[in-house]
Amino acid sequence: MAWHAVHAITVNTSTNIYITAEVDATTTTPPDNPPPAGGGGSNGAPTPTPGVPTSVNFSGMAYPSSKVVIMQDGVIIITTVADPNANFSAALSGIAQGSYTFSVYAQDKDGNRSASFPFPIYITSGAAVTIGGIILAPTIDVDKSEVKRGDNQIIFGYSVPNSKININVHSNEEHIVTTTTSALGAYLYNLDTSVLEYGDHTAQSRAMLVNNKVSAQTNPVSFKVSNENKNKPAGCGTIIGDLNCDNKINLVDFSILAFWYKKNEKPPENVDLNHDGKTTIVDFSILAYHWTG
Amino acid sequence: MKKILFTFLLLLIAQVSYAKEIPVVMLTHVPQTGALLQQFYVDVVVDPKGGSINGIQGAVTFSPDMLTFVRAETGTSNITLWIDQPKAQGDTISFSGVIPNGFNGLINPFDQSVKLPGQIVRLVFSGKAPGIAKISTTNISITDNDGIGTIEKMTDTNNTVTVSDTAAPSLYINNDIISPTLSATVINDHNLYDGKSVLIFNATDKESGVDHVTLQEGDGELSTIESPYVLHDQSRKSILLLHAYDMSGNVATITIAPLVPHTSATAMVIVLFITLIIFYVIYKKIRYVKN
Repeated sequence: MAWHAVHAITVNTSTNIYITAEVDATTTTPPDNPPPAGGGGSNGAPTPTPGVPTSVNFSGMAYPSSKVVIMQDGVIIITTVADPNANFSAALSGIAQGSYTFSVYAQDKDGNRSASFPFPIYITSGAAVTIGGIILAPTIDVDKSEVKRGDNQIIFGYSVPNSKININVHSNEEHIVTTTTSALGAYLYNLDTSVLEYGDHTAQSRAMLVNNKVSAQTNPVSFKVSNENKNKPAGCGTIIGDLNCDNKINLVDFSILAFWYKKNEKPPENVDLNHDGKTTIVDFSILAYHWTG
Repeated sequence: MKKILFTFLLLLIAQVSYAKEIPVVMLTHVPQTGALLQQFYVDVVVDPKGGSINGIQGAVTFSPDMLTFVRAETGTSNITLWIDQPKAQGDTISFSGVIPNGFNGLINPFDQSVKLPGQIVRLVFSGKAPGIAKISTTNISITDNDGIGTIEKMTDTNNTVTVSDTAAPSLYINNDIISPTLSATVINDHNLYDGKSVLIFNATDKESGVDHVTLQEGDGELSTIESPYVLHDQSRKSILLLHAYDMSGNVATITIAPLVPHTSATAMVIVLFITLIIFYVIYKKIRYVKN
């Protein structure tokens, strides 16, 4: 089978992600027209070619030996493990023509997850699409939910080995600190909180690889500077959106939220994600943001 | 004075340059004209304008005296999970749904120069009476994919279709031959119907969209259901047979086995029969020993 590269374009220069699409030149005419606005229907969309395999390939970097999860429209379809150098790759085949949102995230040895990296993409029948150069965001966590001003707050996580990690601490005045990951991909920074004001703060990190490639940014992790130290609580209720405490945010949690939405009564505290005493689109949006499949 | 004006202009330009573009929800494929009994579709689409969104709620209104609403197709929608499936009531078609992990514009791998808007729903109408018919987006809000569900209210848009007085009967048909995909599970959670056994399912169809889902519990009647659904048989002795139909009539089926092995009436009769034989043999033996 002769594969004909139709396009090979870097779509995100800041994160070095590239997407290529190929079609079998012997059986398929490369599509001229983009899919219609909205990505569906028959208007302008390439004609499906029965019998020609359609595939999507994913590759990139996570953390050494970390679990890498790929979702299709919010459903986990592939789980793989990154190699000791943090490289991962996975392939999906036999999918129908249409628009899909693929999301990729990694889970480190401590069980912390990276931010999901979504790709809404139109897949043409008979095309081999490659989404490469994905550099997943590091994981990030803190050891205390509340830290006594002047004491150290430990900020830690995983990323690509031997990378520079920029940690942004968002306060009234932004603080940027740096550290590096070990050969196993772990990083840890002791943040002196005497430079921070009393009150709520968030921290986010991003990796800069030795080849100057940059990862995506983590979701923010929050903590409070006060007059006492409090360890971060563990267990049920600590993961936003995990309504049934199974350490995942998926259709079950969506169903629980949908039940309270249709019941139109004040929901239980753990279901009311924005704590406004009702179930609205805002709660669903928060759930969708934290979705893990 | 000139310096002040110049500085003000520079500040204004800077403000405009750094201003975040607001997402847009609009109708596309709206025909200028239509005929009586002629079917056509309009797409409700969202352009996130470089941002990332993850939820939408709102409605489309139309002139019911000049247009008949035929159906809503969700097969090509970028909405993954519907909170309220598109449903018409009078002149208003309401809907709400979310996109897990967000949507920041659709990539066409064959032309990556620009990201495309995402489709929310395709609405099929038919000409009913001559005149200028209105189709408008109404009270639509979207939520940003920012972890706090920031709501952005969209501007209403108005479109018109001139329905002529000539009849040109035609159907808009989606040549869908692919079955939907269906997944389902039964859960018990104290936050859901007080911990009862509840069936949750997700039916999707990338072509014409899912029309409806039916359930048969054991020998019970077939009923059209929505997720989440409280099972009638809370003992979980019944086999659950779930069918998802798309708009073109293709069907996907899954079966969920009972938790407790199902005992059929035939099996009960056999067990009873064997028990009777055993009792009879014992009775005969006792009589034989006594004699």
